[in-house]
Amino acid sequence: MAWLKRNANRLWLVMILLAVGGVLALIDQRGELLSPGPLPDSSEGEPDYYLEQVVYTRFDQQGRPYQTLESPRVTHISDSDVSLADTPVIGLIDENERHWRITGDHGRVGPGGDRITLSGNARAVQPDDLWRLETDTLEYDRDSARVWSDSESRFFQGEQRTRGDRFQAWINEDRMLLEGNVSGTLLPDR
Amino acid sequence: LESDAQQPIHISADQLTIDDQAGTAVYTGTVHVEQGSLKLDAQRVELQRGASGGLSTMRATGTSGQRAYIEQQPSPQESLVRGWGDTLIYHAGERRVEMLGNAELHRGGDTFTGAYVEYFLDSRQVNARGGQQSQGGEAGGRVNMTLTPEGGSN
Repeated sequence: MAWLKRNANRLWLVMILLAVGGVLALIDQRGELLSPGPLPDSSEGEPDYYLEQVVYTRFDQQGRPYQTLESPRVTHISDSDVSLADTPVIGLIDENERHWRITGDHGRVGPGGDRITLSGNARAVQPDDLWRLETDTLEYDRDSARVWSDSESRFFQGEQRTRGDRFQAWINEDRMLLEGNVSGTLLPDR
Repeated sequence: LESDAQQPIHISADQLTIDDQAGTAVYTGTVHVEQGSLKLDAQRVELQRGASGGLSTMRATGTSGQRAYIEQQPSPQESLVRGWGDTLIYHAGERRVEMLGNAELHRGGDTFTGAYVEYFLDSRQVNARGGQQSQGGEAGGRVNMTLTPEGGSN
């Protein structure tokens, strides 16, 4: 007992060190301890790997950035070279150096990022011309430089609000088209 | 009505094309426009925007078989003013409507027809012109007016 009393401080110190060491070990192994997360339930194939807190930029042959993607989680399926992103924020830069921002609950980025599908609360915003589109599913095709939706679309430009059954926009040409039961409101000029 | 000019403009159509490089917004296919008591029906309506992004002018065209049509209630006491033309141009700021080609205006009991009729919504003033002299020298289209005397019926 006498020994215990004499070395009480040392014993406390050793126990504290052991506890801190244990916590640090836990933190360090965080990656292994976290479960790999839900497997995508799509028919895309077997995931190869998944990434967390993703930010990537694609460059063209001239080294110019043309597409960025941010997502808390991207699952890549190498067989089909498809990436499935959660709540992606995708940046597109058109030929006139204008930035488009397209978002959605889920994103499917095809090979080379040339074809993107956003589903669930899909949005396309092009600030220079005050364009904003809200729809359910939005498609983007890099070859035709076109963004389109075949689901009900609500288009906003400044104070103009218009809805239609389908929407298309040619991002390099500053041109858009709403079709089917188009109706909207515009404010008088002040 | 006096308040029309401050009302939002409601538009319905089959299709809307916006071309920001050309600065145009074109509605096509059974286009119907309403701004307070002002109503317009046409096959194609092209909007031009003003400085604040709101409506500056509206250019409406009909089809070969059906002219563009516009109506407006000048005041609660007055009857509808109705106008037709192959092309109608509504200048929102000036509250002025131009009717071009097969132009026709019915204002109260008066009727105006010609190649060109212009109507000022606030002052109720009407200007009308015939068509250009055609090759053969005859008048290309005359102005016709039918004015109903005060208190007379049509």
